[in-house]
Amino acid sequence: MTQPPSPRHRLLIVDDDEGMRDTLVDILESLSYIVEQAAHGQMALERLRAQAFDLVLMDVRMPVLDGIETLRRIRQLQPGLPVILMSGNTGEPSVETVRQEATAILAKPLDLPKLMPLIHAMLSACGREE
Amino acid sequence: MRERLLLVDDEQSILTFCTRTLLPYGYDVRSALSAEAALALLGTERFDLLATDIRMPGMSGLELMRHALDLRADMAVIVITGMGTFDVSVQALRAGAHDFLAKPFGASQLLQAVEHALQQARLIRETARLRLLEPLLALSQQALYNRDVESLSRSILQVAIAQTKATGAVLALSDPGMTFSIRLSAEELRGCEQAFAQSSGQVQVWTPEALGISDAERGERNGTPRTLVHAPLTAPRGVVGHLVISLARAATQLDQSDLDLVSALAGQAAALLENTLLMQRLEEWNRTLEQRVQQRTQELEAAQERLLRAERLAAVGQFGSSIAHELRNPLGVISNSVYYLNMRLGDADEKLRKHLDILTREVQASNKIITNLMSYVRVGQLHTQAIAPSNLVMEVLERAQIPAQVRLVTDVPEDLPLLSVDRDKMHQVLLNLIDNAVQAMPHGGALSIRAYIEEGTLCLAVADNGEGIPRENLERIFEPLFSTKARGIGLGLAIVKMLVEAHGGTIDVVSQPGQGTTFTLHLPVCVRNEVLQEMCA
Repeated sequence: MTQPPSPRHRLLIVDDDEGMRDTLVDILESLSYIVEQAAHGQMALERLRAQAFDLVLMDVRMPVLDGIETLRRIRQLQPGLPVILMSGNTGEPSVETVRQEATAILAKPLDLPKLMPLIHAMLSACGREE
Repeated sequence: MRERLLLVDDEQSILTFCTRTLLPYGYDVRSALSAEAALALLGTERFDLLATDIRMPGMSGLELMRHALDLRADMAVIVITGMGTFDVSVQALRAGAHDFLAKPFGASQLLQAVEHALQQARLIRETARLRLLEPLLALSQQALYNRDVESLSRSILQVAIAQTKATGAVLALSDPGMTFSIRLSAEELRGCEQAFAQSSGQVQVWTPEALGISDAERGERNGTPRTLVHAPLTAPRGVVGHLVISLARAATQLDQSDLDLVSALAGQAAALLENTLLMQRLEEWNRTLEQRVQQRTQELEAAQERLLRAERLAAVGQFGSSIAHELRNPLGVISNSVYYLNMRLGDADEKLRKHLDILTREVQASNKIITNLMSYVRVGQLHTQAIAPSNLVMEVLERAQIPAQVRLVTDVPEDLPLLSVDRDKMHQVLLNLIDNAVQAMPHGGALSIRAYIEEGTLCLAVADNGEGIPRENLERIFEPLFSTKARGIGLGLAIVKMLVEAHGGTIDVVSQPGQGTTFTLHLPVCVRNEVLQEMCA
């Protein structure tokens, strides 16, 4: 899992918790990904319009624009972009409404030993498609 | 009521004189020219006074008088004597006559004698009636202090027998169905039941034959005739029972006063028994009422306590849940940091490694507490899916932290029916139980996980051979906030129970201090349709 993906994939971390963003950025960067971050959905959409990303890792509960609504808008822009939602409450009804749109829904606290291979697998799958 | 007089003399002129004298005074007068003719009248009609000549052809007046008094003891009797029969008059008075008239007598003498004799007979009747009051009063007193229906019934029977000179008697109560009898044969009792069934609501006189009682059974001796007098016990709410007395007399020998006596006894008996029964029921009702009030009070107190407890727990739960929410993010960040450090410090020295491990372990422990705290407030929606018990257990064991000194034994056959459960929630249940089992064996032991079918439900048993749970704690372990651990807020098992019950299952626990504890989940298995749906989906 630590083997560097090639070519280097660009990931977007969307979370309102700075600590969460920082640590995820460090972990993913040390795995040789290029990682950008956004503090809420609005900011994420701006980043996505400005630049191409290979995968989005996004929290559900955020100020300004939450993960649910952001995901819907992402789907209008880029239907095929892998988006992993992170939710503290996976049973929440609002999360259920986007179960089809999300590429994966992960429960918080994150199980990193599982998340990393998942990201890797998603990117490889997309890479093959491309 | 007009008093009825019977005049007997072999001289028509005397009868005519007497009748003419008495009629204007309102008496109902009949006459007979011989003792035999008079006796025939006495057998069919009721008379209050008999005035008879002594010397008559055929039966004498004295003999007629005796017959009359035999038939009716309270009848007034006047004897009429000819000249020089003073001795006979004295004899008659001794035999029960109330007055005598010596011929020739005038109108005023006749009127005076009739009035005098009737007065005496009335007095005798009154005395008899008053004499009955005494035992009735005694009965009433007994009923006041004694609430026992049986002893009261027996007293009533004794009074009835004594007052009517009966040979036996029976008292039957319809509600509660009770029958008491004194000196009556089985056949007589059966006969009495017929009398009850044919009750007219009035006092009735029966011959034994009419009630199907044979001579042999009624013990007839020396040709003594028998009669049964039946009086219903009438209370305001209706007929509540029956009183029958058996008399050694022919029906024709009974007069109204005998029937009145039985009727009076029955009336009194009905009132006394009814009161006693009502008092008994009132006492009974009072007792049950008291018991009910006590029971309801206890229930109410228990419900109130449960409510208070539930409220307190809900408040604690809410508070705990919001703290958990707040802690989850920083803990997630710490967890990420530790992960990062682990990645970067693959070649760290032993001491550093140890501390990274401690951080990892403690973060996991904290996460468990937080998850439990949050699930305590709400179970949330269940996302059920069909899972094979063997897969479920395998998944859980991948996540569980089982120390090396604990030996794992599993017996989960792969061909068991599928479960329809929320995977995450059932993981939480089993992880909590495994955690508990591991903590119960600090010095190692055996952890066993078994799955089997019992009475149509799937049983998942998690057992340890650790320290066991003391009996006094066993009842409380599923209560929220009950904990005996150095670490732990006492939510683990409460949540396990809540989640299992949300799945329509149950949990029970068996524990032997010093030998170990087994928690068993009883879960409904997937019905075929559900399995198919899950498979198609």
